[in-house]
Amino acid sequence: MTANKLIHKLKLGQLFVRLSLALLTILMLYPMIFMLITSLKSNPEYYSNFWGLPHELH
Amino acid sequence: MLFLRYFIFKYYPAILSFYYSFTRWNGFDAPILIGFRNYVKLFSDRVFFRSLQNVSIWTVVYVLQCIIPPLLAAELIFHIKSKRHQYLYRVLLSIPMVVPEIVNQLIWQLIYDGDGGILNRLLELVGMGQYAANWLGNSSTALWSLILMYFPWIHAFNMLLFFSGLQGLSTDVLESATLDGLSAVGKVVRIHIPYLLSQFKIAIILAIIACLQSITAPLVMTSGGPGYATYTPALYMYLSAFSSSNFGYSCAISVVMFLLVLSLTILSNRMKSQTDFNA
Repeated sequence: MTANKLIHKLKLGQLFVRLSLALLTILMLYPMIFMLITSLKSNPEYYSNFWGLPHELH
Repeated sequence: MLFLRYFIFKYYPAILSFYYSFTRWNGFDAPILIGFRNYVKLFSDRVFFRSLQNVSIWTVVYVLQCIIPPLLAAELIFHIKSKRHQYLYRVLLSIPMVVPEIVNQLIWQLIYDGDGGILNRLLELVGMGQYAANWLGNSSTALWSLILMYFPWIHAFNMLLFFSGLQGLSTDVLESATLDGLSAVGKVVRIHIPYLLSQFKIAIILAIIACLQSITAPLVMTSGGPGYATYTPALYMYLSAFSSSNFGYSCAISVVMFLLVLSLTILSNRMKSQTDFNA
């Protein structure tokens, strides 16, 4: 294995590690992020715009 | 002084519950001694066996949840090259620890809500709307919904425990393993996991105790329902004392639970001392 290939493989490994960690972190924190976003919505907006960011701060 | 406080507020009530388990007592009148009648009733009580069955399924899954996902997260963090990013991910994954448990449970109640909960809306979003259900209101899904709560189950404390264990591993060993041509997965299986065995045992013992005593999740999210689908012994003990005013019976349940937790702890401790090679 040439040095170039080894570096390539190492970078691929790092990419895999980082991507899976980022995914896990987002999944773990999503309920709290959802709570934070929803806390800024009014009650009608909670029903009409469930997933999106709040249009105006409430 | 410390011992006196412990005795008055911890040991004395606990010892008293042994006495009350032999009485019929509604919490107000004088307790009446009735011998072993509470225990006889308990061992033919189908609700109690249902709750024991629920909690044993829950404990088995919970122990796995407390080991595998935190280990995965700790390994992933350990394999990141940059120390600053390691720190960042460690902090991000530890944030759920500072949110009170009850807040987490209320959020998950919202996720499982049958009428426009997050999970049902997510299913609709990906085109699987026909699988939407009232997760906590259906006796076939309620227990598993509670068990699989907190997905992806990265228990922050255990993750930190395993990560600090990995940091204690000497770099000489890892370097020589690399020189011998061991792959990254091979290093995890052959070196990391055997090295972390004592941490696993602590995590397993704590998980068993925590799970057998679990009361807030079923109490807050389903209050044992629907039917007896999510009863746990701790919840049954609470409800028979404070909704049925049957304190003697509730004390009998707590004594049986105490013996159960004690025997499981002794058992896992013995397992610990047999295979502990670090000691």
